[in-house]
Amino acid sequence: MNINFLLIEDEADFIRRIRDACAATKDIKLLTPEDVGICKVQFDTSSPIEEQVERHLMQMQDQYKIDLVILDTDLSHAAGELRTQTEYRKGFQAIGVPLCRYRKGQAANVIQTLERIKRIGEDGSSAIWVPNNLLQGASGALVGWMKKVCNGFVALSDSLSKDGRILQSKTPVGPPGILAEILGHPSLRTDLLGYTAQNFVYFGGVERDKQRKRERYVCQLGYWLYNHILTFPGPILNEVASAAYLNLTTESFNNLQVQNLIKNCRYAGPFHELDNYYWKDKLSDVLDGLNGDIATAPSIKGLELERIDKDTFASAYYCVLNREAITADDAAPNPDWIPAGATLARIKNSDLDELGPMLKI
Amino acid sequence: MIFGSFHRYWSEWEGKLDLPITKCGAKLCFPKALSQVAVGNGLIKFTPVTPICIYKAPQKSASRKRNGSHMQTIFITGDFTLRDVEEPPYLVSANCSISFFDTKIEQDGCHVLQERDAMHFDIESCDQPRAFHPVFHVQHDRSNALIDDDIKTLIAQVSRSEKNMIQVVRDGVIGVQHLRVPTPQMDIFSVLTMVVADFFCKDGEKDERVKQSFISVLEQLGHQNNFARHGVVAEELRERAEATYFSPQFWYPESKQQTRHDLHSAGVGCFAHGQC
Repeated sequence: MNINFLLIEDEADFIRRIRDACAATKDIKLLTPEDVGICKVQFDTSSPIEEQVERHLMQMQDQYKIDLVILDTDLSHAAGELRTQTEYRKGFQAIGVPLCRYRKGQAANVIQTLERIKRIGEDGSSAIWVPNNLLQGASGALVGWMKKVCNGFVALSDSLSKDGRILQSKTPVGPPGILAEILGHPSLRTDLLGYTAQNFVYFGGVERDKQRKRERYVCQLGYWLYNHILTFPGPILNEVASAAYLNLTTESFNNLQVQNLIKNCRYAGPFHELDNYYWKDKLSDVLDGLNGDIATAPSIKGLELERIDKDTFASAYYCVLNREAITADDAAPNPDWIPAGATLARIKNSDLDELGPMLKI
Repeated sequence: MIFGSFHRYWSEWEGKLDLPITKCGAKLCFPKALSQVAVGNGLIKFTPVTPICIYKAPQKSASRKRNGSHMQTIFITGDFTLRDVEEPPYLVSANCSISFFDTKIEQDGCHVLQERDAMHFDIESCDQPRAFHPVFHVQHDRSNALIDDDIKTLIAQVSRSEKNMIQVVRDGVIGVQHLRVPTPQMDIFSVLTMVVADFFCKDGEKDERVKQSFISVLEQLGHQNNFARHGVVAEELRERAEATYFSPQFWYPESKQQTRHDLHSAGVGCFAHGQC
């Protein structure tokens, strides 16, 4: 498979690093605005600039078939040559091309994480944020990550193409029903409703016109799945949250004998390559067979397991700011912006005390 | 029997309740765990470590009003006593109290919680039936388990304010306290289900999401890990009420002593099998 990335960036050195890393993969082709002819475009006053940008990107997309756009937040060095990131973001959202964005030079502390999470709430419907640590390291890791993100969108697109009826049928609960169907997990429908309780702006624009409906839907489902459902653990848990759910440290969780017990619980849906994800209900079924505690499994008798909460029947939780497991006692009541469906997502009390005034409760 | 799955089941409730409650702009403060104490005779008592608190709840399901005079806080306390045996029925007795407080936030940020109503649900232990008590019943009553200090702690936590900014007023008389109304088996889980149906299913007929989230609450109530769903008392009631009609008469333990003549004239089958 050949993948086309479009990098919209104004720093020559950064472009060169990414280009080299892409070249090393053999299957990724890196394009820049110059390559695809969206540089130095003259716009007239006949219609709003936004519409013209959209039209322009659409023509570009027809010709170059971009799989993933990577967009810098600050394009000020290229003033006059490139448009602003907001215009690009809206344009690609309108025509349905998946997009990752980043901001260079940010430290990865709790306050920045909070900012990032709040951004997800505000404009998580138009981009996936590149983790800050990937911007600082070698570009190979960044390109590898982008490829996995791209694969996630491709997987969603494939499922929607395979069964065209999914979009045609009027499922009564909309996107949760559609995603539950794509992931082959019907019980998910109700769980995902919890991710729609707050500002549900994602799917508003989809019906606007018939053109590129599927592409736009793929993007929106992808942003929703990655930015909300996978970021705030609920029905699908990342590795740290899965370990917390079993009340084990990540190290004990990764013990081979423990892994053997839960190997059928792995999530293999879109974006599964970005972490080790598990289905919560499948982990729960395993626990039900073991009286609520994994340590009672006969096959791991005598194995020393390290707990997060010393009360063995307890479930621990996942702090979305520190991305670490915490006990129920350390968890604060959830602020409004944590989706109701995110049953494992919490914020550590001490973090909340520190950040309190900044967080909207 | 190890009740590990029951502890897990308890913590799953929070996720089921959170969707309908937050969707209405209210906030749920759910106890982190159940405490477990052996109380003798092979019985184990489970009690939530704090009261359940639903803050900023609407006063009725249809109400969109959310100003001071239309907001309430609901507290639910209670416990379950289960038999430590391998096979159901497990539940021996249970009780649950629910209290409603009109909640006002004053200009200076002070919360004033004025008690408006309180009810107490009982599941009588069948080993010690009390005379003239329906085996399952509700009565207007305050719970001793809900103390003002707990209320203040919870409200301070959920509103992120200080305890001294919270005032609890309990001065009114609560209904007729001595009437015991026969009910179905109402434990904490059933009461939570009732609260969701009556306060948090706003516009439910039109909104598929509300309907779905209520269905998931119902599924949770009937879940196999709900060790409280199958009770000794209910089993006994079912035996007593093996009748063509479902009369509250069977709720009273005295119905065991009804004469055969009464039963036949009431159209009831013979339940004193072996004595016929």
